[in-house]
Amino acid sequence: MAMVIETLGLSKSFKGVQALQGLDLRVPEHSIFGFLGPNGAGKSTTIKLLLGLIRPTAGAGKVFGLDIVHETVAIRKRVGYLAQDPRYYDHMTARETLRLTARFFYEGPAGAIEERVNETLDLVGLKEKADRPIKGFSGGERQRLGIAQAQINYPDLLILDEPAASLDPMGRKDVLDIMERLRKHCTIFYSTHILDDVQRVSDSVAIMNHGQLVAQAPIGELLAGSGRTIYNVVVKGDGAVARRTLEEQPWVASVEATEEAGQTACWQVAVTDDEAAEARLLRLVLSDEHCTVTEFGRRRYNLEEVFLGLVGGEQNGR
Amino acid sequence: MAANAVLKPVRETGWRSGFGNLLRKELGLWFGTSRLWKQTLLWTLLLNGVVALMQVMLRNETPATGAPPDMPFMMGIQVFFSLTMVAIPVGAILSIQDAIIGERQLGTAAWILSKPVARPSFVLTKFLAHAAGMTTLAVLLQMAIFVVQMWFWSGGTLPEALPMAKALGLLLAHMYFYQALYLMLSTFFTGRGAVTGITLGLLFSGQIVPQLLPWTLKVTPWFFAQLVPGVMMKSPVPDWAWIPITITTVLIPVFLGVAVWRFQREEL
Repeated sequence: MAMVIETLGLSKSFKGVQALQGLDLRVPEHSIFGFLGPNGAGKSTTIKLLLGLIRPTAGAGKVFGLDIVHETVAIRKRVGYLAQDPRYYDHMTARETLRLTARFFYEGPAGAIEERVNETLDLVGLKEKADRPIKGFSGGERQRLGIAQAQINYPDLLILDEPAASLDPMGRKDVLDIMERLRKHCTIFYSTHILDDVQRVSDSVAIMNHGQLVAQAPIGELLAGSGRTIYNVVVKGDGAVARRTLEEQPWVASVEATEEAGQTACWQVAVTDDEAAEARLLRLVLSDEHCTVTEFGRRRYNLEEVFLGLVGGEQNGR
Repeated sequence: MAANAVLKPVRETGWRSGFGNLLRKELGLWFGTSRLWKQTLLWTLLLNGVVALMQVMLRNETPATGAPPDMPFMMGIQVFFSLTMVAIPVGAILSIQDAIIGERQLGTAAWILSKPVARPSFVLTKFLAHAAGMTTLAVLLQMAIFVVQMWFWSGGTLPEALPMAKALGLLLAHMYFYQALYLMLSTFFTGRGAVTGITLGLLFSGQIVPQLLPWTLKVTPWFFAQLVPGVMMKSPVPDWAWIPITITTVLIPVFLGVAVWRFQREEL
């Protein structure tokens, strides 16, 4: 699969403080890539490095195969960017802002530029407010304008830094809907700490903490858990024999009873061999006549569990 | 989507990326907003208004015995160009304050530079637009109004063209020097205070330092404050005048070069 973003040992320090350490990131083409981490984990620093707004202190990075230090203008021709706290010229209207943005990418008749501006205003639902100064815009309207200016050039890569952070639930939904609409046209790389959003729209995820990459995988893989696979088995009746039988299997690492109530027991079976577990685990338990299986399944993690497990439950990345 | 067929990717590359669009935007701030009439009014009142007031007062006074008949005319020239040499650099400095520092503080510089814009374009368009704005509204327009009003007050006499052209060139070089200096310092400092203080300090030091150290006139733009009214009054020009003129003129592109060099290393 072609990679849109590739970094190798990318590092950045500010006055002796290491903001990013040896980042190896690979973002596949046409993915919605969630870039997660607590505040100060290095997400915005990474994005600024990719855009050439700051320079790395070590390592290298490529976007579309172009060097992030020496070919930054060529990269930005194909990128749309929404900053965490986007700032525009307040005296300008939304239309003027988009017109200015469009002219960084395109030249041609004024009418054609206006057509592109109108299309974009339509996409984000700002047509009614297009001719009002940005000064009076709400947070949600500013964010919509941010998305509009980021995609006016139909970018091959859309970089969004915390696109939904300052929005109410409706605003968040709008932003996620827009992202879903854009996914077929481009790769979307976005940073966030709102895990529900990531689980809803992303197909790949990287998790940062203390300026370091702690995990990077397709979201399905990440939610399936890393390392040992865990199966949840709920049995009714006397499951002692079945449990002993499981513990004797060479592919079973452990069997932990997490909750027991009366005649019901809930086991978490950690296995080291997925194939053996799939073929034999359920059969072994069912073969014990003293108990019946009421629930069985491979454990699915939610992103919050994975995230907190990886970043150690810390609230701040620094 | 029909627009896509007509629109072409911009052709500017290298250091010129984004130049045309940014210059259009910056010029728009001078000539497409209320700044146009505000600046016009301000400079007209400040420069030509003072000259007009002085002419009215001179008319109402009884001429001193033995005073040359063209005294009001010469005084008009003296006042206008002396005032111009102080007021215009001050105005140029104050108006360029937000060009880089303000945009960096507001975050709009980071937004603009996240687009395909080369950093030299960002710096140079700021200079060009402010230079064009001040040149048009504070210098050319005011000189034109001055010529008309002197013609009016003197009953048909016009200032001579050649000294006027020389004074114009010197005045512009003097103003561009302070604009370029301000822009360069803006790339090194994050606050307006230090940059404004240094630049205005340099400008006003020209009133005091040469009295203590006369040789400084030969190596600084301070001599321009005497030179420009002198050129208009046809006073003798010292033969070393070319030294401060050359130094001042050469320093303009040097300051701009340093500003571009420094801004390319700026972390936004």
